[in-house]
Amino acid sequence: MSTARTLYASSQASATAGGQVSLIDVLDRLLAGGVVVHGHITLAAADIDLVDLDLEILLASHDKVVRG
Amino acid sequence: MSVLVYAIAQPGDTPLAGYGLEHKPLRAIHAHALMAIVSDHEAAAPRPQVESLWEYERIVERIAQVRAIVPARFGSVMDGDDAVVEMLRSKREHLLTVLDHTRGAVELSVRATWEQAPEPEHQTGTGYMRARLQLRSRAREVAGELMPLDKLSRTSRCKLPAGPEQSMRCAYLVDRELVEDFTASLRRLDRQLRDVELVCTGPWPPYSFAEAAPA
Repeated sequence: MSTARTLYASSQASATAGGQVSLIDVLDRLLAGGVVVHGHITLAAADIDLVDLDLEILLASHDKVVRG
Repeated sequence: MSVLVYAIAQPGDTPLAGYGLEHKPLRAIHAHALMAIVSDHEAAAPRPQVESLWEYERIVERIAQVRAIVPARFGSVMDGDDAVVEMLRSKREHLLTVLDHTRGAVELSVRATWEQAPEPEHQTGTGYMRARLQLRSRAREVAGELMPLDKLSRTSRCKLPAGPEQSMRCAYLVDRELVEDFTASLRRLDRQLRDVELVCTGPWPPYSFAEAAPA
């Protein structure tokens, strides 16, 4: 149940993609942003690189983002 | 008992209410004129699945509705209240700086995608390199043409595009009351930019401005 929160999109096509984009944005922020409090972060640094680089590809076919 | 940290704030008048992940009640750990907003949590960190990420996001947004916060990275499990108090002590200066810098602002994300996906060049190596260079130089121009957005934001942070189909992805820290001006400006810029599609999402809590020192 991903909340669509597109504030602006160039076209209908990109608006449709907006839901997907906002999921990518939520991942970008929650997994690679936010203050690191030196707790036990779920993702290793390598996974975060993965999130940064290959997210779009991962998201296209997977419901689960990263194996926990 | 481990705790899951959602955000750091300064103590205020608004009482903390509501629930965190797994319907555990939110509570505050006060120390050093800061408060960490946490819920009790079983040892293992939450799995980063789509559902729990969105739930975490909604929890953080609810917390941020009535106070300035520094959001914590997803999965910030700490070994009990003492560890949180020590974290607040050691990161105090940084957290206060970020709170000051982001108070009253939200984060907006802008991505530019090439309207026509660049064709993979199967010709010569030189042709391929030339195409890549042209794309890079056009990406720099696009970044330049989006400069007016910087004027509407307190600060911005851009990352390298995730792939050749994108020209840029940036996060902007924008005053709440300027969000409409920002999207209006984006609409105007979009009309001038023929070869890119723009998507702007938000408002987000200031995740992208929580860790690095403000510029």
